[in-house]
Amino acid sequence: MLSRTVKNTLFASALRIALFISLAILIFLIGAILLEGFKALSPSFIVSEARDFGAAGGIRYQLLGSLILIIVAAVLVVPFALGTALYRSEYVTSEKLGRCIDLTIFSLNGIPSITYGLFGLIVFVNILGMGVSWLIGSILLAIMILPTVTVSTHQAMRAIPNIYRESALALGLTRAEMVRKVILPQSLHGLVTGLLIGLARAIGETAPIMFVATAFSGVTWPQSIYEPVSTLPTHILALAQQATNPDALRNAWGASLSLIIIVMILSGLAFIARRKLEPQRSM
Amino acid sequence: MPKPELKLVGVETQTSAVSLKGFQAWFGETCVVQDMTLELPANGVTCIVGPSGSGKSTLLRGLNRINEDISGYAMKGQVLIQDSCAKDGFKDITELRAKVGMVFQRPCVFPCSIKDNVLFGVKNKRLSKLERAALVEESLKSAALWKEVAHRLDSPASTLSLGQQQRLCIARTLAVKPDILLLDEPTASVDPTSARALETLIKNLKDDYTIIMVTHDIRQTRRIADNVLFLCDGQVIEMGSTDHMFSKTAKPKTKTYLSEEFCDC
Repeated sequence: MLSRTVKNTLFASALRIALFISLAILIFLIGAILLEGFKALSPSFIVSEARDFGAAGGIRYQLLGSLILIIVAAVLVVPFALGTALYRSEYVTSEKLGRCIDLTIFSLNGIPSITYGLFGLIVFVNILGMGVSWLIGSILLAIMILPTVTVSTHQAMRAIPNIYRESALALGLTRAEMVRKVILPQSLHGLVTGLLIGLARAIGETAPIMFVATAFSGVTWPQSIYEPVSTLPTHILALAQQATNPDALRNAWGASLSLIIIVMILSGLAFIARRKLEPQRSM
Repeated sequence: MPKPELKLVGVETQTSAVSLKGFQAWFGETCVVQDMTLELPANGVTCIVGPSGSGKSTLLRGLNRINEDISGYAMKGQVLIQDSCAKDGFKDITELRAKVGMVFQRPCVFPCSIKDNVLFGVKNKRLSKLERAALVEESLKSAALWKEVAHRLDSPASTLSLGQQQRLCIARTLAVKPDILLLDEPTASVDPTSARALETLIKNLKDDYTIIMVTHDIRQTRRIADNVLFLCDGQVIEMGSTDHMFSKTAKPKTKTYLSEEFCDC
């Protein structure tokens, strides 16, 4: 029979191996992208326009297109995520309804991203006849990240001890005043963190926007909401299809690295936001 | 058949601050306060005592209707606050709660400055900066906290000790200008020294406010209460002046409980 010390050592070793394998995969992946991506990445690559279907030039409009999509998605998702989380946290008294809302939100999170693309194509393009538009892309990305932002905000609200609510109400504050003065400031970190994590996911998505919001080449700055944009993920996809062309492949690595840098910045900001905005409660 | 109204034993007739008429409270199917009809006197300290689960906090929280936000809670009967019905005698529930302030067992300061905590419930937006500063000073002085925090009003309230935080909670409640203060075991979470400081504060406030306090501490009740309400199993066993309840009561349950012996209600 193994002694307790041996069992502990074996268990710790198994955990170390799991950690090592996970880190090794991550380091290999990022290392490969860094190694290949830096060959293409330069200031001129960032600011110059793509030429020869992306095999030459840079990623200026793809970068701008991706940023437009996620910035507008962020603006669109905040009121809905905040409203849903607030309603779920502060106004739903029936447990059954609460569970129903939770189930809906979690189910929404499990929908494959291509389904959002298909939904956008059928509803916005075919039925509403809006054509290919970057705004539809932003709307679809906003719908896609809605569960992430809602759940993160709701969890921050749930973490507020009930005594804060009661203390505010006992002072004669209305429910709306209590929400404004107690709930919102103390759950802001959840909203911001969820939003940044959601955007970090959204900026790398291809499937939801592929049919309805983007063009693979020849697109510059959109002049209206009814025009498509080019984005980094669709650009990478287009370049990867020209894998026999070494220039296109090099630019694909460069675009991938740019995308990863943006994702890392958003994730890093989410981490900082959680630390900086989390309220210092006394209990 | 409704129960007869309970009057204070051992004291002269006083003006009542709170009257209950057939007050009952439930959580789901469980009746935690059974058919109470009584009057609590204005000013002074009335301590509600009794074993755990006797309905003390439910009764206290029924006075400012704070329990109504809890799912499954229901009440019957009438609560009169200075002759106005708590249900429909006020413009709205917020007016009732501003009139009947409440401090909880655990000090709960908001994650903002000491000054902002004091002004947290103040709704009058027309107050000038000077008037606000005066209100902060007045409230903190009333809560015997001014001298300790006057030099750091903008510091986070969470930096105060637990005893100071509880006094800040009282100051915050006083800033709203209530007539009645409900205190739900206000000294239970603080050390003995801070508890004594809070007792002194409560004694100082009793001339200006009607204080209704739930406590498990019998010695504390003896030290600070003017009147005592003894509950058991959601029913009033006896109510009277502190002197009567501790020295002259003939009821064995009251005698046993207040002498800190085992009480099987």
